[in-house]
Amino acid sequence: MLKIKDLYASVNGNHILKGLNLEVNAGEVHAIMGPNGSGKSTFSKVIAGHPQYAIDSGSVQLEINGQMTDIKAMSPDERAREGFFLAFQYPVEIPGVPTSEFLRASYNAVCRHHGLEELDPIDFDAFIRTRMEVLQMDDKYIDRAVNVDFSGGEKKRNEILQMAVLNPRMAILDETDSGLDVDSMKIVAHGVNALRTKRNAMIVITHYQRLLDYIKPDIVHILHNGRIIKTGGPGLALEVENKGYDWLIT
Amino acid sequence: MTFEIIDKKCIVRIPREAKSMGIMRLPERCASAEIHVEAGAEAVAAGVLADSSVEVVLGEGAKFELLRVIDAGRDGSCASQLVVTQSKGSSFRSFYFSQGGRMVKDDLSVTLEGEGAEAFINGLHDLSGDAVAESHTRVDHQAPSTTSSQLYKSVVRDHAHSIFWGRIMVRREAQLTSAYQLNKNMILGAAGRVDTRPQLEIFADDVKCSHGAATGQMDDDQLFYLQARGIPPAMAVDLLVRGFIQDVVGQIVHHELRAEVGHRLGLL
Repeated sequence: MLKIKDLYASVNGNHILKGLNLEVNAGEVHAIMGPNGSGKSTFSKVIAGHPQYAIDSGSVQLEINGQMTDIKAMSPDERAREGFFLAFQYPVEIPGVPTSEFLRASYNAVCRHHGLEELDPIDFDAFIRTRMEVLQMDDKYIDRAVNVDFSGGEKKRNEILQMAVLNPRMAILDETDSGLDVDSMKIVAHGVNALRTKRNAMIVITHYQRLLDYIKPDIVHILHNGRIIKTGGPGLALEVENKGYDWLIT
Repeated sequence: MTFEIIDKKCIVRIPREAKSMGIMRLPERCASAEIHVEAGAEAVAAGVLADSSVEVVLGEGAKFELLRVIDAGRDGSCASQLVVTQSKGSSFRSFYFSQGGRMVKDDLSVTLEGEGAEAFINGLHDLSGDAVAESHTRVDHQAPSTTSSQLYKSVVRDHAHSIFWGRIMVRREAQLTSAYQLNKNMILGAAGRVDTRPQLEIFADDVKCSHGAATGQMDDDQLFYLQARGIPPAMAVDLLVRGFIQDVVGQIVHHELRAEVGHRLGLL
């Protein structure tokens, strides 16, 4: 689903990713853990195509129509329409744009690209409400401006709602657990788990093992200094929880 | 309601306690108007104007909302003026809308003479090409416990130029006044220009006043967020501009007036 080879990337001239390799297959959930400054957020922004993050060398391939395709030259919106999704660590507030209108514009942009029928506001409203129920979100959110006056937990639920609307094949969840209390985290994890299938894949980026109790990964990677220094099973996350990162780094 | 035209001046009188639900339309291109909303009366008015002078007098406890759409034509110039005097406990809402012209200038002056009077003064410059729009506002707090709130926004495309000068005066007698002013400008492209000059003159000591101005390009983080959801860049920009505008158009309370402005902006 996603194949990253020897990826070097920088932001504002600072080299952050230094030879990152990663392969994610359909049906898998990977976790990327790492100390602060290890490059976790840079990784997610680079894969999403943020214009301030430059790929210096290496390749990023996404499976598109059954073919592994290099996505380096694709804009962020093209990547999204081809089934890539990033749940933001810090969701952006957009005053004046109602959440319902934003979600529908997003959904219809993807439908249009794939030659599928677009939904009018009434049909979309019915569609979105079923998705909101899973995340236990109040109806009032869809009439409010995107993320404006949302609490931290509400913003994170809104990210997963967007993921549920777009139903991506490859999703990266960037510290979706940060700022969530345990109850909110369970709801968000439930929403994420409901989207897991054999045909899609996810990468969960997190500081803490806590989230991985609820979203169970198949493979755990440790990121340090811009590269993956250790890969293991779910047990690796527990080991990090108990021992910290130092034993891996030195 | 009485309506008469004397020496080409349109004079409207909303009698005491009258509650008119419909929108009173000023005659198209009316150059001079005087509107008296008497004590306890409530009214809503709108006009499509160019060179014009409008005077509004609000009686005690009167409520009035006024929409002025300034249409000077693409290359036209005009100067408009609005002078408002408010008695005790009256409430006034103003919305100014202009797409500019060669030189489109507006002067708005509100005097809060009576205790507890409140004024909400909002406006939008929606400019493209070589359009110029200049708005001056002056709010004079003369009585205690008066409130004013101003939000002016501009969208500046191409070589357009938006100017905002806002002045708030709080007299010594006007204790417990609350005055707020914000001017926000969005410049799309490299050639647009914005001049903004907020001014506060405060002579009372127990007041709450704030003003601010912000001018910027399209927000890159917002743009990236929309793109990351599959929305193509041109559509994302369009959504963000509409959101920026919606925020000020949403200040219009009367829903038909709001719809009218929305319609002119293609928001509906």
